Amino acid sequence: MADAAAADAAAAAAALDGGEPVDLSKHPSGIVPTLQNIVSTVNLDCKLDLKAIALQARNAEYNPKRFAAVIMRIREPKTTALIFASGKMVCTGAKSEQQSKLAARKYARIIQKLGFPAKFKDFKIQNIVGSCDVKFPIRLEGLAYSHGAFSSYEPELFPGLIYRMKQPKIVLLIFVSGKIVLTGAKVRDETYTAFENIYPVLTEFRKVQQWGV
Amino acid sequence: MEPSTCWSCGEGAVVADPDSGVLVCTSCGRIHDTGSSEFVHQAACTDDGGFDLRASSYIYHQPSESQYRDQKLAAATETITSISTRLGLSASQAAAAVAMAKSATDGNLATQGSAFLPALASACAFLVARSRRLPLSLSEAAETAYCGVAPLADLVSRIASHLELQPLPLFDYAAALERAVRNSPTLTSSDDGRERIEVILSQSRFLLRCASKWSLTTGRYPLPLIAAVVAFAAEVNGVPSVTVENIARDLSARLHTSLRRYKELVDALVRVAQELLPWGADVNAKNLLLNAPVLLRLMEMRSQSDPSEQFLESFIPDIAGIVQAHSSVDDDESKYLQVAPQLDDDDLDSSNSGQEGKELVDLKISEECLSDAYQNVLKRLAQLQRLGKVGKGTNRKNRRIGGLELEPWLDLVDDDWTKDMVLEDVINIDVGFDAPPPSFTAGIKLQKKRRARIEAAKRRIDAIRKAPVGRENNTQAAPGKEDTCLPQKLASKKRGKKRIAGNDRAVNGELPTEMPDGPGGEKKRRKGAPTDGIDWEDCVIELLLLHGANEEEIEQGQYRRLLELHVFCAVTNGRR
Repeated sequence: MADAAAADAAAAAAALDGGEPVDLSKHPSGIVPTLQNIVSTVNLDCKLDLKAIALQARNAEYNPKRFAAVIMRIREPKTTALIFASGKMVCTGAKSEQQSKLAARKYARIIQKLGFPAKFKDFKIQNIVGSCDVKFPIRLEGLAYSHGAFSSYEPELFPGLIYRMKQPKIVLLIFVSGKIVLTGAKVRDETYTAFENIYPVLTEFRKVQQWGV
Repeated sequence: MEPSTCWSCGEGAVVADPDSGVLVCTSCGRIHDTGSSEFVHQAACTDDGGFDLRASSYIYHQPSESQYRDQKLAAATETITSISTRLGLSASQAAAAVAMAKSATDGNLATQGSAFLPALASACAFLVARSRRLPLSLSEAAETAYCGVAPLADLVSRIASHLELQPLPLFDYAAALERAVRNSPTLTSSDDGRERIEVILSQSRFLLRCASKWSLTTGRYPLPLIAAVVAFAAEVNGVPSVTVENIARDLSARLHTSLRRYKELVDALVRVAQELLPWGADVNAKNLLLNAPVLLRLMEMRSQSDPSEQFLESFIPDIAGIVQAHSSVDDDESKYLQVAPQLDDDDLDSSNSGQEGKELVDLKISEECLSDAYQNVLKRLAQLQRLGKVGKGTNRKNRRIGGLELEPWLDLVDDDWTKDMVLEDVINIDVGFDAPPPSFTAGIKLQKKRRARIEAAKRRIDAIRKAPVGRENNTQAAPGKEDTCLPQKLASKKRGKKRIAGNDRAVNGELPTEMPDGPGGEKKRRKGAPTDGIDWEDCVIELLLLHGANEEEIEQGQYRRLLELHVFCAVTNGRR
């Protein structure tokens, strides 16, 4: 107990000193996108009676007129699962891959406890959403003009520029404030690679301040 | 088969029309609708005069279906053409919109009276207009189609992807601005507006360039900013009855957004005035309109020239004349304000400012003299008010003079912005002031606030850690993971106790009582920042720091994500 408290105190002290340094060989920009949402799927490999699940589970909601799946939530990891009658399940809201897998296992266990022969087959991360801040304003018009083949900038529809990167196949939402959202990755390294690819482009279209007279 | 006689005229024979198959009288032309079962067509007869049932049914159904389809297509084409024309497209462009609609729907178009037809028409008209760089906005197209902007945008993108169209060019602000000014009923209905329309357009163009320079256009709806710019230019030129509301209504722009853009524009101009004008410290949002003509002129000169010392010196002698021209006090009024002999224009020149200042300092003004002058001014003002010479009219007159003086410069500005230029090229002007995007500035401010909270939280944690042992034992405040949740737990227990005065007292073992879970705390939180002590955000930051969350991530303000990742997390090996 005392050791654990000491370890926590050491971790807290390390955090107070400024946190972990960024690995510049992996992240030459010095910025690491933070993962905001992980979407994963798993096959429970059995047919499910959604009405029975909705009746027995307290944390489930089911409205077949609106959506043909049970929506189940757990508090730790704080996630939401869509459970279909075919036995397929979608788990959303996790902040890391491990959290997503753990949450999916918990949902499978809940289904098992409700009397269904649920298995845990074909778990797969389907989408990773990350975000970061480059800390400088970006000229979206110039970026859209120069990278017209990859960009879509329609301020009438959406305030950000939508950049569809080919390799890795990632979609980036770039905002004038310097905030970036990266989505579409299957593994987190794709997110990191996509950001390192786009960072030089963003610096090229950085809005340079011309202060004073 | 003998042809029957027309029962209407009694003379002509009734025969089937070879094209439509309808029975008509050869004499009077009356259409004999004998019903579908008795429908006879020449082609439905066999060689021996009998009926060919298969052929007759084919002939009966085929033309009527064709008729229905033709009618549907004709009506839809007419609707699309009408909507396209209403949106400002020419006849050829409307035809292109019809062709695009046919391609998108495989020639079926849409049924008359359905909600899809006007949406399809507007979407195709929008695509045609935008591909030809015409100033048609999506909101205007949506308003014409009686549908929302988002569904229409979705339809536009689906049509564009289905037809594999080239990416559309960026919104043409210059053309949209010109269209907005020239077609605005508010501006064109008033005499002043019609007279000043060219000046308003020129000033609006210049202001739009400045707004783009200050990133007020990037990532924003175009029309509200155009409405704000036009309204400001109209107000500067003293056009009566022109407000942001009117212009926004004319442009189908959202009023609330237009007002926000107007405020942003005014704020930016105030900052420019404070940078550029010698009396800039006195300029604020309320009196900006009085200073706007001078300010715009100075900005235009800056954008045309290099900001060298020689240029600035050449500008200085004009200040006196401008001050006099834009002074809201007439000559006959101003003499009552003068206690010394009237100074010539040259005396206002900054080169003589030292001497002038000295003279003013040397003046010995008695209290009686000042009092007399003040009374004199009051009397004179009251008299002028009775005569109706003080008020809007005189101000408007003065503002008009300012506007007229801008024209030579504005002609030069207009030459710069040709229709072929994109906004990216247009914004590369120097008006003596630059500003980052408002969203970026807001983000920086928030991060600074969070940084201050982080530092305060670290100081509080350090204070607890470095507390004397005796005191620590008394308070039982040993640092540990379990204790990190104490603020929230103990706060509810101590709710009835005396409130702590400040952060310093809060860190000394005493824990905050103003938590948002209490009724009082909830009320405080709703009102805004806490008056004393620490609030829920400080507690969350403390908690995150104690659980080893990265400070830079805390600065971003994503508390919920960090709490889930570091505090309420069973998985620890997944951390970066």
